[in-house]
Amino acid sequence: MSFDVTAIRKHFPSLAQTARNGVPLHYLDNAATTQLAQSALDAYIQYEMTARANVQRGSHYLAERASDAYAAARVSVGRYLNAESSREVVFTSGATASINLLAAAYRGLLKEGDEVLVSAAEHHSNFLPWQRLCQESGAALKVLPILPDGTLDMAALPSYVSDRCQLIAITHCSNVTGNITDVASIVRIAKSVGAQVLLDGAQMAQHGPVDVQALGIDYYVFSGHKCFAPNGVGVFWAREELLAQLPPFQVGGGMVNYVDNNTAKFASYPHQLEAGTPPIAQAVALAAALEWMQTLDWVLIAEHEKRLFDRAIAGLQTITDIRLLGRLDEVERHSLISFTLPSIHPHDICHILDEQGIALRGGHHCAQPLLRAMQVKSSSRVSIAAYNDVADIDAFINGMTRAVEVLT
Amino acid sequence: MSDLPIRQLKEMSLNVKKPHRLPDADVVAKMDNPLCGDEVLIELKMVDGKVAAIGYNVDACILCEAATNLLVTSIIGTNDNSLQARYDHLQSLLTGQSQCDDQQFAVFKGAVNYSARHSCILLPFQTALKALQASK
Repeated sequence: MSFDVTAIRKHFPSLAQTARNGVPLHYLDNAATTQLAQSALDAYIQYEMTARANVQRGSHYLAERASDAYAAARVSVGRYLNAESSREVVFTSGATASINLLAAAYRGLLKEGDEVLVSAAEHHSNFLPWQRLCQESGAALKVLPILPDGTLDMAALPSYVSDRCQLIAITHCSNVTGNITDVASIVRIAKSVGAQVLLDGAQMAQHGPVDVQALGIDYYVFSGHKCFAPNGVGVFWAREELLAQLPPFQVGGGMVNYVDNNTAKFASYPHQLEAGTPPIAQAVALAAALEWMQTLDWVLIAEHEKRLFDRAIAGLQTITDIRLLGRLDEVERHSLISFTLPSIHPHDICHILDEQGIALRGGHHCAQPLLRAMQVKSSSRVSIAAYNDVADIDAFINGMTRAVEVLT
Repeated sequence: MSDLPIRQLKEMSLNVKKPHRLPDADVVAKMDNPLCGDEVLIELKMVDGKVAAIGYNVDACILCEAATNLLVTSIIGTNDNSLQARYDHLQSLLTGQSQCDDQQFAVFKGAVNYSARHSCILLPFQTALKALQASK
């Protein structure tokens, strides 16, 4: 069976639009935001038109429909992650909020002398919450370095994990190099010292279902907008016994059973971690996107993305003096490529490509420690999703040729 | 064809590639653009409240470097009020709120539709204004 990218593209109506100057759009900034799946859009509209109400509060018809849809969305997300129970799924506004939720919960648990390990390859979202928490608590922030090729220095890992380590918070897949973390080694060493493991799955979830049980981790986060769903919704997953111990991140409506002037009794998880009105329509749409994704053959998609990746690499390697960041050989990776050119600023490359309808990202990709470790200030990044095709890659390479021509 | 005169901008940017420092500067300001990593350092020598000499060190995209070139070739003799007026004019040009009646700024006319790049063009002027304010 071959992969039918045309059928996938039909599920993304926004890909058919023209870009600046009326040229065809070639969207290759999927590591920042993917386009919205038709199924997610349909579910969003269906919810807003037929079930719009608040959840877990009212008893009228629409309130019940809203609550049912929201509960069903939690089940869908749990299924996508292979969670043991949908009660382990907390809806947030995004991966950043999910990580901050955990950091807030850790505030009362960390003390001076404790350690938190992150890596130099983290997105700021999985770096700054722990940096601030350690500054506030007196705990030490340890940063696992990277090797010159941009991969994590796994050989150094044992020297960075002591018995004072409480948490290892690490990316599942780098948003700059595309390299996938050796999670098994991380989990093994964490368990040996009794530390917990948070995986930042922001770059992973768009590439197919995740099995949190098989990974052996404690916490997982991802964002809806990076896996074909709307903005404003994300997921925090935790093993149930850990979730039961987490204090509320925020307090307010919808997460409490009893309140008087001096006390409050909070609802049980996951509701106690979802204060206020949650992003209901967004969660319903996220669930629809994930349900649709589970109908796809991700082995075929991985092969398709790899073919496009190889085509892009081959094209880029014809450009004189280009530097491709990260390891490109058989290391486990997803299909994104960051690159630099001497004397051409990444934003200028992105500008010339943008004029040709090709959407790329230029900058530090919210990963300044990683770029600094690789001795670059900023880079251009092309990131490939399931709906990209050969025409996108060829337009990108032709655009790069033109960019180099006019900028040098 | 580009919406911007890339060749012209590139030529302008080349003029400021090599740092030009002022060892006896009265004021120094440094600013960056966190979005893309542009960095601009401006040094000013002041006489009677007006700019008498300028030094710079810029590491940025061609729009920012071209704007730096435009700044350094036109700043001598200005004070904070006149530079602020030019900055305001450039900003209103970029946002499409005014027509371009400054020939030097015409090179950026095509940037109106590229709002994400406006901060690159404005950064050298903002840095010079910061330095001028520090001179007071």
